[in-house]
Amino acid sequence: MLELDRVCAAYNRHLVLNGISLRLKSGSSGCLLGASGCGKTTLLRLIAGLETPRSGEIRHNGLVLAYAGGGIPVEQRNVGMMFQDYALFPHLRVCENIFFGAPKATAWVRRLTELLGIGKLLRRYPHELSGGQQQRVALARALAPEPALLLLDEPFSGLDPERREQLARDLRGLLLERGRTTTLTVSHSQAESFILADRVGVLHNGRLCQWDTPFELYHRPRDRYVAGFIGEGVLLPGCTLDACSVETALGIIRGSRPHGHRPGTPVDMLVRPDDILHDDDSPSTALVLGKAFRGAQFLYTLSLAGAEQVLSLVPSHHDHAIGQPIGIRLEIEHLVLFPRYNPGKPPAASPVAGDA
Amino acid sequence: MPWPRFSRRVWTAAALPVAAALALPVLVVVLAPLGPAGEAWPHLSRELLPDYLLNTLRLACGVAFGSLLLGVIPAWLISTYHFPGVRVLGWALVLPLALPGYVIAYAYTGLLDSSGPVYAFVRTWFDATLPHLPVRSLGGAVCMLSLVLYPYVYLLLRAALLEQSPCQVEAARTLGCGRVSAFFRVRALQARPALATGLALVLMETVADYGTVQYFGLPVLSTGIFKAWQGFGDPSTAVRLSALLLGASALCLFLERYTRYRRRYHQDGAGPNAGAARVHLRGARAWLACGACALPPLCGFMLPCILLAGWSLDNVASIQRDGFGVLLVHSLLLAAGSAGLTVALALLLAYARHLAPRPPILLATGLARLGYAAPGAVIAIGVLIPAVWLDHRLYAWFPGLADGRALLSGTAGILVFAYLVRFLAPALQTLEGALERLRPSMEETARLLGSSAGGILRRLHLPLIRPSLATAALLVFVEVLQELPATLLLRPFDFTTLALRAYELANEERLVEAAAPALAIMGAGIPAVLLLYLSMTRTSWAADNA
Repeated sequence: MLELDRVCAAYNRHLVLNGISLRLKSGSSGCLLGASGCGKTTLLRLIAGLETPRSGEIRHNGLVLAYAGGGIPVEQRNVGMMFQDYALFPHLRVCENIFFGAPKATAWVRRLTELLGIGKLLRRYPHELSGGQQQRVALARALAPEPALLLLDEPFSGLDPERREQLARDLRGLLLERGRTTTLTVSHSQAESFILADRVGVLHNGRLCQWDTPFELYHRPRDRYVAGFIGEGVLLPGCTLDACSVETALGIIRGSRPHGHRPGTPVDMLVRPDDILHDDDSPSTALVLGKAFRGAQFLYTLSLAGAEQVLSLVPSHHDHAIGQPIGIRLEIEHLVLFPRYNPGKPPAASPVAGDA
Repeated sequence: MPWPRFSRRVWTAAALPVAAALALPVLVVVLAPLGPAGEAWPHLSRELLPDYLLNTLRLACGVAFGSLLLGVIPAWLISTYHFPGVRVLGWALVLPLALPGYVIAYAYTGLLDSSGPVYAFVRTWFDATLPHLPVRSLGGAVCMLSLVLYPYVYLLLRAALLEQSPCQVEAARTLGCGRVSAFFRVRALQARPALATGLALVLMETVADYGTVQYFGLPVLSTGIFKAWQGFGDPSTAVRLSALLLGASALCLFLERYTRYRRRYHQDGAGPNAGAARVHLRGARAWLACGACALPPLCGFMLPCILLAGWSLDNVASIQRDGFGVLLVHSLLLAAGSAGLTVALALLLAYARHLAPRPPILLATGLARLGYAAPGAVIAIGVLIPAVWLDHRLYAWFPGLADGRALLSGTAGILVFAYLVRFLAPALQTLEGALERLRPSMEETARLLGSSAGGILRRLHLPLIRPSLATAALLVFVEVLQELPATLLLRPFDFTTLALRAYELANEERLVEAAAPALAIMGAGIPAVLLLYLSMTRTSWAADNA
């Protein structure tokens, strides 16, 4: 179990991470998402031991890795890390790179090179490899000493989308086969994180907004930032009627569970494109304002009675012209409501995060 | 995370005494003028010093102008246009750097002497007599030094232009700039810091020069130091002049450091790019460009080279008689030993700094590189004063030693120490640059894979910076071979190097005989200069991966 307990980090006086706490079960895989400069790489470097936390504690399987101002030296942590730029040693062949931290050719290393498809590249130098091959070598090198904890910093950022997916699948397979390695990835792509991770965290301004399963993050975002960062959707203004229902431009919507706000509270409701289904027979209609072709689907921007707009994902054989009214049907079970943002009052001050 | 305390302490403990010893001579020169003035000082400061200062200033301004003229035009032409011989000229333009100023001064004095080949040629073919050419003058010194120092300007400007991305010029042109205006508005403006750096190096070398100005009999600061030390026999006056010269040189160094510091922020993004499209010149314009680029290396290298080679061939018998072989071996051994030692100590300091960039080590390495600002004459004075003092102490403590021989002053060891002080900075700079260029993620990866500080040095850094180690060693080797003033003041009795031999023969008006040692010095310098050119204009293997 990897545990972070109220970890704070700062560069000079600049607070980069503010009270991060999370737990990741041994053998499972986590992913940290966030815009650039939110501190996610710093968090990875803290766990690796390349930076020291200002306060808080990092534990792995009960062992304290780092505490305020100190910790186990990097070279003794048995943590594998793959850098964004791969950091292959240019003067060493592929095999020498892989054996840098694991001087013996074990069965595991052989299996690793085989699974990653780099068995034929072992005599080459890094500059003779393509980006994807370099990435696989860097991964093999990080995994060769059998680390208990594997950290990946934007592992697929330098690759084209097809290679990216394939590598993500290979990596997932490799880690599943090994079973004991806990993995923490840093990424800015939610698609990648959903493929890779059992648990995903969203970092914003040095705070961990939510640490949850991908499903929960998408369907039950805890705050506006997470709602906006993960997936598409709009916030519709409305007002709660009773414990389970809310009135918006889409009409009165009843959730299956209490939403937790007092009746009569002004709120914003998160409406995902998949919450709004297209149904030619539906009595309620909306005007098509814009559309984006996505292959199997159209993403329509629809205008409701007032000035409000919503998004809707519609199978792409329903091709409607802009300006046409189309029938819509709601399929919302769980209400995601946020108290209405009051423009007169600034949002709660959050610590400023810089480039990490 | 910083390195474990133990490895930091070990490296710091090893580096601090070395840095302190290397800083000592410069500190002596800085602090000694606070003591009482010598007998010669009042006379010298009143009668001679204004001349020294004025001439040094004139010389510096002249050489600055000359090397800008000779350096900027070829750099601009070669990086913008394509014309016959552009590739050869690209590296030929740096060759004059292999010649110390005094060598070219000897060559031109011989060439333009009233009994020399030029006068003879004019007399025979045109039946006319040339007016007297005042080679041995301030103007002559400006020409000589400009001819050998302009490559600094050329090289740095050229490298800066190569580093720029061609996309920037292309972007400027899509925004409506013409080719020439794009060059000046985009490329030249960005290269300003490099130009300033080159100019600062030229000025430092100019004020440090001793061989040329001495041979031309110019009263400047560096010759003044020798006059005070050897002529007046007044060390404290020599130290005061040294402090002045050090100040002038430090000013140039400050300019260099400042512009280099600024330059670091100009390099992001654009990788070295030799493939930038150059415009093809044709016809007369092409030959004009070719001529403009060929003139500096012709005058600064080819001509003196041919002349010296001719004189040496005329003189083979006397070369053998004079024990040239022994001389060569002496010089090479001295230079190689000093280079090896300098690079080893530079590596120690650079690595200590890399591992523990804390105030003590930063201060120490900063002090140790002060020697770079100090001209050879200043270093020699700064080394001699403590050495003589220590000799006196040793005689006092161990009277049995007093058999008239100097223990420290006047040994080869003290000479090597002076070279260390003088040339540590360029070596340190090269190694620090190489260490800085390595991606930090590589070292971090090695640590994550379990390597210790020593292990990373051995397995990662040493193999990666090997080219830089070789470059640093070669640079020091050539500098030592060419060094004149410090060698002159500190040499052991009956010990001669190539540079000293050339100097002595030239001063005895035996220019033809001085050609052979001068040619040998130059020959050793050529590979170093070409290596420098390659390292600055081409993506080296290590930098490529940095």
